[in-house]
Amino acid sequence: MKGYAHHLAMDLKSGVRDATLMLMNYLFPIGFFVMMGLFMPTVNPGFVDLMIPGMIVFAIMSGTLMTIPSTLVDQRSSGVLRSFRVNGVPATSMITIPIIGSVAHMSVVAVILTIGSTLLYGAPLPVNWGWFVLTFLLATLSFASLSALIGVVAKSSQSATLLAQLVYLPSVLLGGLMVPEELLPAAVARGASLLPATQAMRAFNALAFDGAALSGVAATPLVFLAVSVVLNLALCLMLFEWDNRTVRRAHAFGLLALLPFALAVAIG
Amino acid sequence: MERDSALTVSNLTKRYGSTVAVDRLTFAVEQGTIYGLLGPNGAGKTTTLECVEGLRTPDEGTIEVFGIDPASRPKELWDVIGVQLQESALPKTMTPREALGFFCRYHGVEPDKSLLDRFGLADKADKQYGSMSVGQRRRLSLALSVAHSPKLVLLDEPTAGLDVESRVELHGMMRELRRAGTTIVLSTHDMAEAEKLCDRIGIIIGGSLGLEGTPSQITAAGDTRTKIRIASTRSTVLTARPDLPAACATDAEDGYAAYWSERPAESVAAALSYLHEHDDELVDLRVERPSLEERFMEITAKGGR
Repeated sequence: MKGYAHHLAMDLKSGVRDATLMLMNYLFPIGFFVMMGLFMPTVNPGFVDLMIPGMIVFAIMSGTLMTIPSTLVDQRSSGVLRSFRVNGVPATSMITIPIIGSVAHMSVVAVILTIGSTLLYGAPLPVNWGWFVLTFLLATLSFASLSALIGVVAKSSQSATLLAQLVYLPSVLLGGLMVPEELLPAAVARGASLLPATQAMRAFNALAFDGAALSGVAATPLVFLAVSVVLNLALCLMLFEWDNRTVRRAHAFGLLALLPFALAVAIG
Repeated sequence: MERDSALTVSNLTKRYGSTVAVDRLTFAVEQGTIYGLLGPNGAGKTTTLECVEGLRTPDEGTIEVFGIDPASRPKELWDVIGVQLQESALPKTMTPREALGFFCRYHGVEPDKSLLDRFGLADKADKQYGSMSVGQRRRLSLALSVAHSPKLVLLDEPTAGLDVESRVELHGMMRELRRAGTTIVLSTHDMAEAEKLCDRIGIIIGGSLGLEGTPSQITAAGDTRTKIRIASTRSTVLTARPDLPAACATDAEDGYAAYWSERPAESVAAALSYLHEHDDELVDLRVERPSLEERFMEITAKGGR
C-alpha cells in the first residue's frame, strides 16, 4: 500500500513537472476556455449555457486522451514498464494510477473553469451540485480508463495518437460541447451517442443544470459511463503488456469498449 | 567446501515461434560469486536472464533462485533479486532520490539514503532522469538494482557504451557488492571485464553452454601454446629466426621476432643463449598466454566445441 501511495504521489508530481502534461492538463484547456469565452457567445449566444459542462468535458478529454495513451506507449517501448515490473510494481498500479491522477488534475481544472465561467462570462452554475460532481467523476473515469485502454492496445505512439484523435475530434465537433445536441441533424445526433462526451454532456445538462428528476431517461447516460469505466478497466488488465517484445494479445478485444455506447445508439 | 547455489538453471529451453533462443541450457551460480555469461549477439544471454528475472516463461526446464521458481512465484522473486536490464529507463521527470524511494517502497523497505552517495550520485540526487548522462543513468540503474539488498543481482551489459572511467567505477562497485556477499550474474561482451571480475564464466553459443569454468580454466582449455616475442639491439633473432626448442617461428610483429611455444621456459632460455652467443643485447621480451578474448573467438568460431 505504501508503494501504491508513493507511486500515486509521483504521478501527481509528474503531471505538474512534465511540460507536456502541464500543457495538456492545464494550460491548453484553460487557454481554450478563455478564447472560446471571448468569441463564441457572439457567434452562438446559447453557448454560455453550455460553457461549464462543455469546457469541463473538453478539459477532461485533453487531459486524458492527449496524455495517457502516449505516456503508456512510450513507457512500454522505452523499458520503463520493464524496470517497474522487476521491482514488483503490479499491472493494476500501472493502469489505475494515471486514472486517479487524471481525476485529481481534472478536479483542479474543473474548479477553475466553473468559477472562471461564472465570473468572467456569467455562465449559469449547476442547480444540482451532487449530480454535477458525480457526472464529472464518471466522465473523467470513463475518458481516463478509455485512454489507458488506448495506451494498452496501441502498438506505437503514432497509433496511440491516431486512436485518441478518433475519439477526441468527433467528440469536440459532435459531442454537444460547442453546439447543443438539439441543433445537430437527427441521424448525426443519434450517431453521436457512440461518444462518451455526448453521454457526459447529456448527464450534465439534464441532471446538474436543468435539475431533472432522476428518471430512467435522465440516469441512462450515467449508467453508460459507469459501465464503460468497469469495462475499460477489465479490458486494460486483460490486455496489458509490459514490453513490446512479447507476443501481443488479441487487441481487437479493445473494441468491446464501444459496447455500452453502441447500446446507447441502438436505443436512441 | 562447495558453497550453496544462488541460481540453478536446468535444461532451460525457450523458443520464439520456430526459433530456439535457448536450448537445454544448464548451469549453476554459487552464492557470493560473480558469474559471467558470455556469448556472441543472439546467443541467448538476454533471454536466459529474462527467464531468470521472471519476465519470460521457459518452454522447458527449471530455474531456481534461492529455491524460488521465477515463473510461478515472481513477486517473491523480485524481493530476492536485483535487476539491471539491458533496455530499461525511468520516467524522464523522476529524480534519483525519488526513484530510490519509489522502488524501495514497492519492495517494502525503507530507502538507504547513503546509497546514492556510494554510487557517486549524491550531487545528482535531485536531477531529472531525462537530463542525466548515460554513465549517470547506468550508475543509478545499478544503485536501484541493489537498493532493497537483494541476494542475487542480474546485470545485463551494465558497462555497454560507458567511457573508461565510468567502467572502472562500475567494476569497483561490483567488487564491493561481491565483498558484501551479494551474488552477481553478469552478461557482457567485454572479455577483459569478464576476465577481471568473474569467478566463473559460462560461454553460451547458439542457446547452449559451450564452455564453463574459471577465466583461467577457460583460457587454458584452448590453444595451449604461448606466444614469445623478442626484440634486441642488433635484431639477430629477428633476422636469423633460429630454431628454438619446443617452438615454431611465426610472423614478425613491429620489430619483434615472434614464436609459438609449447614449453615457454625452455624456448626463452634458448633465445637468451642465442643472443649471448651472437653478442646481441635483449631490449624486450614478452611471454603472452592467449587471452580470454582469443579463447572466446576460438570457441565461437568452432561453434562451442
